[in-house]
Amino acid sequence: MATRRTFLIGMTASAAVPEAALGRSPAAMATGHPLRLMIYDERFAQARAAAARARTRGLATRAFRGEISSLWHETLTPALSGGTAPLAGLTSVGTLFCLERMAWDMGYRVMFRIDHADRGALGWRHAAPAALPADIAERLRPAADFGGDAIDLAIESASSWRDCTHAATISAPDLAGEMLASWIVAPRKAQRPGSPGSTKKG
Amino acid sequence: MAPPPNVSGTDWAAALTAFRQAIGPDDVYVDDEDVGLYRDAYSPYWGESEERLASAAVAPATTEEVQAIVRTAAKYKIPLFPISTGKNLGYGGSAPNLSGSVIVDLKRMNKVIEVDDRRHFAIVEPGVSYFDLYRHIRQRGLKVWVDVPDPGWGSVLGNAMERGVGHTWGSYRDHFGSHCGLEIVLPDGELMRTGMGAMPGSATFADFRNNYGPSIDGLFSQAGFGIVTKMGIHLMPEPEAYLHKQVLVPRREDAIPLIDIANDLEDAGLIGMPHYESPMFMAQFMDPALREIAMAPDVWNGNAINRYAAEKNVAAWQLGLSFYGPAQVVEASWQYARDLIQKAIPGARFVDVESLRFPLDAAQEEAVKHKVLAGIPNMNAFWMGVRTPTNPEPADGHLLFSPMVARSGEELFKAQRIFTDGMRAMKVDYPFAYGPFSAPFTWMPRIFALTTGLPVSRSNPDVNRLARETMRKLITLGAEHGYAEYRTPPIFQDQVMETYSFNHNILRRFCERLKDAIDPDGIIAPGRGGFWPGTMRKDAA
Repeated sequence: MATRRTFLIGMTASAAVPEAALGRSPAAMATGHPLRLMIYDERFAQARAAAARARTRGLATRAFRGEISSLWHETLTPALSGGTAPLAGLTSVGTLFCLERMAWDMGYRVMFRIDHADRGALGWRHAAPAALPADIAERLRPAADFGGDAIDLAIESASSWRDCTHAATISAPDLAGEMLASWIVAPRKAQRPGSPGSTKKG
Repeated sequence: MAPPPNVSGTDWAAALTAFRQAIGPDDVYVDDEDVGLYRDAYSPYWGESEERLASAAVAPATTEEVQAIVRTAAKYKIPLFPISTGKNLGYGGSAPNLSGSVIVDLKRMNKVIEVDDRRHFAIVEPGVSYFDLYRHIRQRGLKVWVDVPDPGWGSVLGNAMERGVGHTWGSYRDHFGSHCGLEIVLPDGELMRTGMGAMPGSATFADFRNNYGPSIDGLFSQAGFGIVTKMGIHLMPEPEAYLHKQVLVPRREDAIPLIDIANDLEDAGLIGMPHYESPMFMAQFMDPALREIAMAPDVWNGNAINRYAAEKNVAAWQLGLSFYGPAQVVEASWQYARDLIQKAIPGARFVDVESLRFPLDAAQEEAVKHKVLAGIPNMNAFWMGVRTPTNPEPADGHLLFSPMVARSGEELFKAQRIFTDGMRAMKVDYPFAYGPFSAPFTWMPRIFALTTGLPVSRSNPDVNRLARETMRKLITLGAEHGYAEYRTPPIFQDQVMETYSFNHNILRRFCERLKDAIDPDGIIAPGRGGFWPGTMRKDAA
């Protein structure tokens, strides 16, 4: 029986997606707008792998190293200024905290996130906030090479995207490195005036 | 979300209608999902009934719209809580002191009204962030610097009104001290200007802050006497050069002459913010032997620390010195400082950290090591404090406890011991809080802040309960020894104000008298600053 997991594995093996196909992507079906951009913190191997996978799906990728303000001002603000296009990423949870709040001012919310905790020899633990399906994070393996699958999962789960605002990071007392997150930031309500997000910075 | 306290449903509906008429329906937010964005991400009451929550939010775009909102609020006795960009993390975020308040979100008022790089000032609206002002200056090639806090997404005006702090030279990093002229909407909706702006036609709003008569600007800082809609702020002229050096001293007691010398250098205007650290602070989490030394009861005599420092060739303290000015002058100032330290502290070592000439191009700017020291806003604070092997279970945020300590080595050692012993007596073990390697922060000129962060959680109420209890005990402990806090989150503001108890708390009682006269119904941020109007005081009938 085909499961979402086998579907994801199939997607992992897929070749580059033509630009025209983006219009039929899960993101486009969920938001009315295709996902075209993914950002990643190139300090992390998982983020680099996620970016490589995103590129095979036809997404543009932008790298940064730890500090997001230049990327935000130079790239993301223009990219998100229409208030319609989703954005994917694999970064530290600290970066996501900042990005989430900056994106609020443009009408965006974190609509999908899975936190990834490196537990050393125990492998990686993946956890999703309560707003998402309970088993969704279980689709990722504990091995360290989860980056590509994580971004696939984020993109292909578009029908499950929900407002994850205020999600707490997972508890991981055996954490061996920096906590990462794969995520989607997208307009909470398409073209909706009257949210704090409509108070765009000039 | 909770409706405003003591407001009927009819009046609340009428007020919302009036707000919408005043500023348009798109900028009045009542949905829980929208109003929820104004929760304090670092609230120590997250998800509990005591969490401070807003009832609604409004986002005016002009001073006139702010006036209309305030007049409506005054008519229906609805408390407002103004925010600029609403960051203020660790000190309350954008959440109000009083649940049910309406947030007045000023982020749409984001005009940089003027920047003058010949007289060195800016005039800004509340929604202008440090990033905005910095980019405005850079894009126009203006020869002034903004002193920036860490991180740089906060409001220039809001940070000054919160008495926020920065990292560069002298008075510029005291952001309220650098402000010059305010425009304020008062609790009855009337508009007032202070300083030279109080005279129509004056061209010196942001040059000179002292109007004739009482200086009242302080009433609008950490207080609820009005909504500030415009502010002048003094800016630092862009220096020709910046030099950053590091001084490493071998013994614990070397902090005493080191601090004295840094005080002389800073108060004479030769250096910017002295930046104290102990290399042993992080090292103690990597070396159990050093951690054992740090936890030993006799650590305070310094002997074990000094032995460890000598054996491992690790400095007991390090001091970063920042020099700003003409290249020849900063080099001469450094040589002068180096000579002073060499004579006073045997074994002192010196490290070249950074030397810059301005202006910087984009690549040079990106490469600056400690950006805030060079007036470059950034978000580094959020990836320096995240989960690491030495910080295995950090929380979702923190409360900041910031007692003021006199600038001397002896006073530093005394305060370290008081707060370390105090936390042990409380049986609280936050590894990063205090101990013999905790260094003073020097964000404000002429004072040390022995700040520590207490972890909070969005998923574990026990973590928050412990943080709240510890914070309250630390405030009390500090006050017993004369250590006052300069800033605190809303839920602790009453307690902190209570510790300023000279002459039966006349400071608070005076503020209450003013509040009763100017804002008796508590329209503007009741409770902010730790005082309330008579109708809301605990002893109110």
